[in-house]
Amino acid sequence: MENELSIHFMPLEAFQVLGRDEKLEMLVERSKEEEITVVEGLLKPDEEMDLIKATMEEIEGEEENNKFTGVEIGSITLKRSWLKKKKSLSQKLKALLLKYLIGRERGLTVIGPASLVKEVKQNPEKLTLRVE
Amino acid sequence: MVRRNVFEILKHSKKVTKEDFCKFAKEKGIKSLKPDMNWDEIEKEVRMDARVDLSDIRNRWPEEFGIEVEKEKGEEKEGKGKEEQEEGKKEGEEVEKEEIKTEEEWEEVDTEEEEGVKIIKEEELEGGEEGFIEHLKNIFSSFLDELFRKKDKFQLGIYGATNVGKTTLANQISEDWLGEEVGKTSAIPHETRKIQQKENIKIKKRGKELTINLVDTPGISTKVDFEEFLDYDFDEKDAKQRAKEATKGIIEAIRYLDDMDVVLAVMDSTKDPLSQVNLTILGNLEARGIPVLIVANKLDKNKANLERIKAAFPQYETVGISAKEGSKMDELYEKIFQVTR
Repeated sequence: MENELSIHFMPLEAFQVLGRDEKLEMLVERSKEEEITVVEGLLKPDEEMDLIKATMEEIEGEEENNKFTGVEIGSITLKRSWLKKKKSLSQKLKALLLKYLIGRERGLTVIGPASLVKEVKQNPEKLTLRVE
Repeated sequence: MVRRNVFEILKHSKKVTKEDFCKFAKEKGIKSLKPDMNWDEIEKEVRMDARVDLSDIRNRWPEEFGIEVEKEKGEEKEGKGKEEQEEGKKEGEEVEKEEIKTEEEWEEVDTEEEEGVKIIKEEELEGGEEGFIEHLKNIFSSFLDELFRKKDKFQLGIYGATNVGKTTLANQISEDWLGEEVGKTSAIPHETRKIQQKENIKIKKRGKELTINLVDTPGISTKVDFEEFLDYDFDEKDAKQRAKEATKGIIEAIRYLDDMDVVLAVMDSTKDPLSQVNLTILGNLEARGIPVLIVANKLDKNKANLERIKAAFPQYETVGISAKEGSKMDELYEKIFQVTR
């Protein structure tokens, strides 16, 4: 729909309970529906590769009027941004403890349809999306 | 006895002709061989096909290899798996020596190897229990050698986003050492839509030699839009076909990743290196434990910024080059030697 942008937020708990295929299917399907998804968490490297593969298979799909051209992905991680800043030792320790308790690296992932999201800039401190 | 020797012997055999070998291969299901092919071409075909085993060839013409019954017994003891490992281990050494060996020298090597097999057998038979222990020691020693030996041939993959100059780099490497190109380059995205390979490229540096199979891959991307190709004068049908091929190429490139021993992650030094494609490639290589060297390409361009790439990925070894101009390639080869060491 014109002049309307849907951003779907997915909390970490809701994302982590999904199986690998479910995650990928959900992300690709939402992109096909012209929605941007913000996930509280990060995809594993092999999940990212599988997402690219799944995306390519969808682009190639034989569906009639298939206008899906792929996705744009951006992610921001605690490791890449927060820890690089000159934080105090106690802050760093707290962050590392939290990471240990959560069990995986913290961050945010944004996935949107390439037809809508034209560019993602990943400054370690912020994500910038150019949307048309 | 190694596979290389088998073909060297066949090449110089007065008894086994190429016609005989093609007939034999046909019986085994390989129909692509023709007597007008040279022995190198025949060898390459056979090596790529699992239907003919080394032992099949030797058993077909045992007298040519001077093995007969005794050699076969030796083989059974050593085991087929070990023979194949030994083959890989010795192949590099044989290839290195190959250039300076004469026909007679090849025969000498073969004879020595045959005698080596006999010595173990004789000791084992004559020495009773001690001989048997000695034999076990030899097996254990070979196992350790195999465990800690250095690999002598590497699958070197060239990965990166689209239009970063992967094929230009592959061409430069191949031209430097083989004198021939790997593939066509162009400014149109997804020009390389299939895996392209050049085998047995020998890189020489400071008296050392490294053999690589160079694998040039299609650019990884998270999107492929056929309309992008319309800007390059493709009609809609051709643009859609190209897009379809591009998506298949990306999937193929991803599938090949596990086969790589070392990867050159190529980045365009005029662009922001913190793209998701770059992060995904590096993350996957790290997760798979595949050594990687970042190649910051297009240093000949005014906007090139090598430091930006180094700052973005400080944990990786980075080398700046211009594949187009062939500059800093020596530095790249030096780094490849370091990464594969």
